[in-house]
Amino acid sequence: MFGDRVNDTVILRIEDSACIPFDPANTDYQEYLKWLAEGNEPLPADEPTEG
Amino acid sequence: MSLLKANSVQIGQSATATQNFTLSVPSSPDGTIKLARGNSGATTQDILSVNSSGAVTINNMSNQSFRNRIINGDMRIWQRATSYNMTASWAYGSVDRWICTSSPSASGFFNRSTSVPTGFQYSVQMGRTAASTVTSPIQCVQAIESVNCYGLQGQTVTLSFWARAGANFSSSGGILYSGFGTGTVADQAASSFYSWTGSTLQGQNNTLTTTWTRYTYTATIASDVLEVGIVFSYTPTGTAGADDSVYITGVQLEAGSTATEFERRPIGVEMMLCQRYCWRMSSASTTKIFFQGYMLHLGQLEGFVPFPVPMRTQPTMTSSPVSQFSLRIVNTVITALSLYATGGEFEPYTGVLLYTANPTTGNSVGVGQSLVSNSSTATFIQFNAEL
Repeated sequence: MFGDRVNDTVILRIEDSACIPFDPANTDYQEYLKWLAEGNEPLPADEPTEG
Repeated sequence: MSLLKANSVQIGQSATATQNFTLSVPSSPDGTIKLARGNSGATTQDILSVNSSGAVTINNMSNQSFRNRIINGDMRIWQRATSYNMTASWAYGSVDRWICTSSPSASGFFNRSTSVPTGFQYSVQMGRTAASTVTSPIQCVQAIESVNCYGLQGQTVTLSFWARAGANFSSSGGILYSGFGTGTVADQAASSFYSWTGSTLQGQNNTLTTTWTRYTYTATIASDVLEVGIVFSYTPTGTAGADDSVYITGVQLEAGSTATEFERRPIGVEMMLCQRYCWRMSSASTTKIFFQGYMLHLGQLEGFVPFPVPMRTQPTMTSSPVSQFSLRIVNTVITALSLYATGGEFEPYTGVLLYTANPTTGNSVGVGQSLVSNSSTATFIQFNAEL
């Protein structure tokens, strides 16, 4: 389960509050893309916005 | 040149201490100098050769540095934890660079052990929780980054490792499977080891005993392979006893058909190799400083965190609960810790910006500030760029 973006380049993973960068080589980001492709949508994230 | 005795040749005069000796061959038609085995002039095995361009080839280079493609094969680095309960999904939980699972039902653990063969400090104990009746396969994998696999393409390679069975190892026949899988697409995730594009799996069943034994397996890797991974697995049976596990250490994968002595790299080197994939800042004291920065806003500290080595890719950041962090000067607990990541600014991934959400009380915009552990030795920030 993923939350919404915490900024323009990072997505939040709900279960462990991991901040995942939008990098195609990052395996967590690959999992996120796969999760999106399955028709899921991120939940709104309660995180600060960058700067 | 003189013949001293049978099988011993001396070149030059021993009494002439400064004399240089040259072993040369005509430059045409070959120009290669070889040291080889053979009888009556027939060569049966090349040992060392220097070709006409000066390139040196040494067969079976047992002393070559960095011949072991496995990182942390002797299980010395445990940044995340020294014990871990496996889940039904592949996950990195304890010993660096090794991902593990007990699937489809979780009943396994992946712990540090001091039971070792002579010459090693730690092994990994991979097993099933005592009294468990779950019989899901228990396994671990290390995936080798593709840039480190090119040299193995089309090569005969040898996997070697030390292993022993726990006193109640329940695998039928005492079998631990070991092998290596390959893929034809670069840097596929270790968690999809069995379904890599172009996947092949080669290995063998090893019959373990409770005595430490070194096992080896040699095979050939196809010339189009872009990724290689090592796997160990066993399937428990019945109800687990007190020690239904295997102990593994000294894992080595190298080019060639012979298992050479395990390559021992300095701890600092091995740590840096691991930190390309994972770096964990842990608080050994209750006031550890994690990073220093400045108050970008009253409610936001921003700071740059340099990595000890460039990471493989932009890393995922995780941390202990934010209640374990505070701002040092105003001593206020933060409410969020986040990652600001951009590839361009930090390539080749040498560091990252972190920022907090925090109470505004007592803060001033632009002043320096530190993020510290809030009286806890369990506080951590971790960066993960694993495959």
